[in-house]
Amino acid sequence: MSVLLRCENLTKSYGGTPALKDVNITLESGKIVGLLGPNGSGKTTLIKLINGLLTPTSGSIEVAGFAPGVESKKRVAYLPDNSYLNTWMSVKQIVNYFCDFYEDFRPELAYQMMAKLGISPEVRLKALSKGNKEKVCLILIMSRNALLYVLDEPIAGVDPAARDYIISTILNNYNPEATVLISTHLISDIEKILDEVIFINNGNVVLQKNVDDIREENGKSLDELFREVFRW
Amino acid sequence: MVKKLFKHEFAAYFRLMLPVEVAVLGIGIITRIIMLFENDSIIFKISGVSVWILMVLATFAGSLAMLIFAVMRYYKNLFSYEGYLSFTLPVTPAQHIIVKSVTAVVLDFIATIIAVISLCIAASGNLLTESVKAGVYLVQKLFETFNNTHLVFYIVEIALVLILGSFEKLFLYYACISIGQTAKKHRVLMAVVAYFVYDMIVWVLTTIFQIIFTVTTIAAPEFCEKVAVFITNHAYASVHTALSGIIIFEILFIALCFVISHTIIRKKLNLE
Amino acid sequence: MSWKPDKDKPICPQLCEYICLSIATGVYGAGDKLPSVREMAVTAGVNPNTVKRAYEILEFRGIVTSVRNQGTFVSENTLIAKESLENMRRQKTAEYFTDMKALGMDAEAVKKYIEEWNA
Repeated sequence: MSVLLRCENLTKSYGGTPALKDVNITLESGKIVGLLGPNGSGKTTLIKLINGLLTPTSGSIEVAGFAPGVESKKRVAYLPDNSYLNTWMSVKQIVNYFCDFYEDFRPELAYQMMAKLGISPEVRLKALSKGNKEKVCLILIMSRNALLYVLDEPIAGVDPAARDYIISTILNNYNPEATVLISTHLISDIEKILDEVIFINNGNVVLQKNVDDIREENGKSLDELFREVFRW
Repeated sequence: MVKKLFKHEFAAYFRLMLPVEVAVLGIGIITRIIMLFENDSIIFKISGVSVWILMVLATFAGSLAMLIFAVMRYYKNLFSYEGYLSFTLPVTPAQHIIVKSVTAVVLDFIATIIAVISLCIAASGNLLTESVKAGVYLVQKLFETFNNTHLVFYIVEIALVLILGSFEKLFLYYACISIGQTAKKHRVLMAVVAYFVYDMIVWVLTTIFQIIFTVTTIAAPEFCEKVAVFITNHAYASVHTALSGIIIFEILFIALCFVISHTIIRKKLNLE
Repeated sequence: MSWKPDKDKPICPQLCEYICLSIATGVYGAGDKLPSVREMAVTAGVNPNTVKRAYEILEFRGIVTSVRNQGTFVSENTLIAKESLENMRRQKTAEYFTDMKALGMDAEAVKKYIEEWNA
């Protein structure tokens, strides 16, 4: 059991406005954790800080034991909410790209998963449907043998059948040494697979708890609790 | 990792450069073909001149294209949606900047060579042999007039000035783009503004220097004469000093732009 | 899998119940190997740690046994599972009567209802 994410008094302000205030989070290995919160709650800011795309204003953040940098990036697999891939590349080219930069990338696994979807390696990303492009992005991330997977809205904008596929892929890829952090709005689809949930609002962590414990204590599903907690 | 970055940077450029260079070479070949029909007719005079204008335009366009590619690669690969991939690679910002700039300068050089080849193709035959003969004659005269050792050093220094000049121009654009990224909105516009500000500063400084220079010549003519005599007496040293001075200035400028870009990326990055 | 857990209540106990039911009704026979934690997680659509805990609870109750590096197996003695099934039946019946009471029918009325229905 190792700590894969540790935030201590993490604060990030843009100009004078704080997007994250004194955030304290510890994520242990072997968990699937949901990061839930309304728009503008600081989820994206937290995710960018984890990935080294932003620097903290104060406080500290440690990812897989390293401050965000080259060493942490080797161990983090990030799926942003919008496609960041060069569409002129073919599937094979993007797989080779990932192989080149990530030592932990498993190309056979990637090709296997894509074959099951009927996506040929020669296809250009441009030619794929939106749903298939999202699946390819997920496959690339899941084919990495990372310690921390950060998925930003992996099932938003995707049809229900594709959501099932994505959820199955996440489960199939489960590694007790690693942790998956899923940031999403679509709670009811995803709550069954979560170990823990972090509720975040206005830059503060409102709650971090085991999901079954929440159900036990509140007699409600996560979806219902979310609606209550974040009621306007 | 740096090797891999280079590999992919070159691959990305290749995709962009290929159509342009094919066009440049193609126009060279077409020019040559048209020149085959050399005669005194009006048709030839018009098409001959047109095609040569086209040839020259093509070489300029090719050069401009390389500049556009270099700026585009920096901006698009690091600050558009691609930035989400680039900056989550296990690569430092310094490595990104260095790989991009070196690739850009090297390929610009190759593009220049291709342009020269294209011109040679266009001019092949009498025109080419005459040009080459003239060039060789010039070089011989140069070696006769100047002392050999100094000339070699001059060549090295001038080469450095030119190479560093390419880097200098590129790093200026990098710094402007990076400065633009610190704004919340209209980042491209802010980059352009940064460039204008730089231009203004250069203009102000140049004007100040010109004023100082003019005033000195007027107010202290004996001093200026002494300086002029000194330079004439130590001609070689003076040129070396001047060239070295330019090189040092270029290096400092490149370092400044690099520090600006690097710091902004490391501390102030905020992708959309 | 057609199992749809109630998300209002903790999922782990519901999973235990479901596996128990499968054993008691013979879907998994005595001594059969249960799906691995990961397989069960994917089929059931739940977190692998939930499955792991469910298997641990069932082992504690004597319904399954885990063999190191080999997996989890249904106990030779399926009586405990069948007992659980019996408990589940009784509980469901109790719930049914409670629900019908809310609809204004006492036990006697419900029994008459059922007789008529069968006929």
